[in-house]
Amino acid sequence: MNPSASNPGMLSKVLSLAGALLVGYWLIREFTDEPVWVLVVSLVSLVAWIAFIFVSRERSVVSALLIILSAVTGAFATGPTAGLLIGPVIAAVLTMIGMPHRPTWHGVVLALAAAVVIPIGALSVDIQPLGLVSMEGGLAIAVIAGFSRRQIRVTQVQSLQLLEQRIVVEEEKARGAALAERQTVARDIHDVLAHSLGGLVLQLDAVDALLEAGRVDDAAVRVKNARAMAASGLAEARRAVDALRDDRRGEPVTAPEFRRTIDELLAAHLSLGGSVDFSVTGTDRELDFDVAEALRRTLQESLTNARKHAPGAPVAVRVDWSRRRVELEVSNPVTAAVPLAAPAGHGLVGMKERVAALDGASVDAAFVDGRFVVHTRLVTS
Amino acid sequence: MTIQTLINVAVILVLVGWIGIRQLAWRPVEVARMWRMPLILGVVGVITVSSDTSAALTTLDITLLVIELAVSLGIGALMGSIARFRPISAAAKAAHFAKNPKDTTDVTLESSTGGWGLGLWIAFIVVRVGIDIWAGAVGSTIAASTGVILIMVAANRFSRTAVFAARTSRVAVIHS
Repeated sequence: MNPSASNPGMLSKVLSLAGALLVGYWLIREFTDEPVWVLVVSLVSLVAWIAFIFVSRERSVVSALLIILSAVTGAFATGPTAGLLIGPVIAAVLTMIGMPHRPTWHGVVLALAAAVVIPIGALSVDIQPLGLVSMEGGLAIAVIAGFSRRQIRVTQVQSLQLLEQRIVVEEEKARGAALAERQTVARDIHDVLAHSLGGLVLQLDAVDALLEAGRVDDAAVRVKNARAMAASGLAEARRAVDALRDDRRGEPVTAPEFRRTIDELLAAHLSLGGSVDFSVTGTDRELDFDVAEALRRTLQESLTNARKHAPGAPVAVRVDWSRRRVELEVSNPVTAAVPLAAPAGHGLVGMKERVAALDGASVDAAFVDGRFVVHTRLVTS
Repeated sequence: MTIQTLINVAVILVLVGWIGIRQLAWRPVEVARMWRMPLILGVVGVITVSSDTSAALTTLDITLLVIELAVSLGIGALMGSIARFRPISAAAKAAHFAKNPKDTTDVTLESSTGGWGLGLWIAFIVVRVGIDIWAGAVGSTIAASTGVILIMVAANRFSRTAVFAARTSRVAVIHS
């Protein structure tokens, strides 16, 4: 913002002061021969005007009184000074009408009062009718200019308000973005921790059971598995934190990379005592980071859910590559112990949110023919 | 008594009676129509004054005219600001449209300035007559002419309508 816009009154104050001093100079040069009262009234008007310029608070009662004093005395002296003192009258009326915080009628009443006082003051001197008309005409122009100035200042105030509103909206938007980011972080933390910690709990339960049964060797194998699980969980957590720290979004994921992450997840599932029926159709290819991430997390979440709700049951994982899409279907039989309502955990919500953020993507989770099926369709570019 | 005086008396009486009755009654507010009367009176007044070439305008004439004009505008604005508004009744609305079948703009309010309005109107007449007498005494002829009377009434109605327009537009904003 440039300095003149932030302080619009400065230039007009300087001009106003220059005008007052000019009128004062001419008054003393030309009208010292007039009756003393003319000089006194004129000087009162000018002093009031200059005082108003230096009163910094435009809204104060003092500034209003100074304007009125300057206008009325100036109007009274206008005729005797052959129109010289119309200067402060015009300035006062223009200023009064041009103040947006004052009701219009303040300025209009001041203008009418000045219009009446001008000819009354002129009665004492011999003045041409045309001269009087031109003085009143000057006043009329001041009224019009005052309204124009008022309009401009009202517009300025409005545009400032508009600017403020826009900043508020932008702040809201930024807050919304931050909130969305937090949800993403929460989702990632859930995915990583729930997967590995859930696996660990299963492993440790098994260890517990094996030790109770005295099968120490088997327990030792399980503990090793659990250690591997914890290590991979830790690595995963690090990867998630890294991904959050330096935004890898935008970098594509190559087909072998993607295949490796799928294999890792399936291997983890197998090591937890699960069984997988895995099939791929079509040709795999490079994926956008977000698409690959959505697929990986969906598979991970589905496997975690399968272990939780159908332990030991074989999970069917099918990846289907078509020309423009990739589909992932994970299904597992529903065992009798599991309630038939859809498992409403954070995981499923997060999965849906993640997929919904992508164009042309959809995810359905439903019970079909005694199986719980999670079907994800994503568009590849 | 000259013809001029008789005409003045007649004009004043008719206007006083007509506008006086209208102050007391509740009347539908139709700002667009309200501008019509000051406009017509003003035009007729200006034509009457300019066709009267009997005397040139003096400084004194202008002084009196300006004072009268300020008083007329002030009293008109005061009338506008003391007016009361109320939502128009269905019967009054029907009567209004029966009287003005060509009217298409909707009327939602009616107004009355009541006793104070009538008082202000009488005050306006008294001030006018007073200025006429004063003007005659100090030698100004134009202030008392028929044309000027019409212009002053027009000014009075003009400022009243301006205040009305501002107030009703504020009411409209609240209602919308």
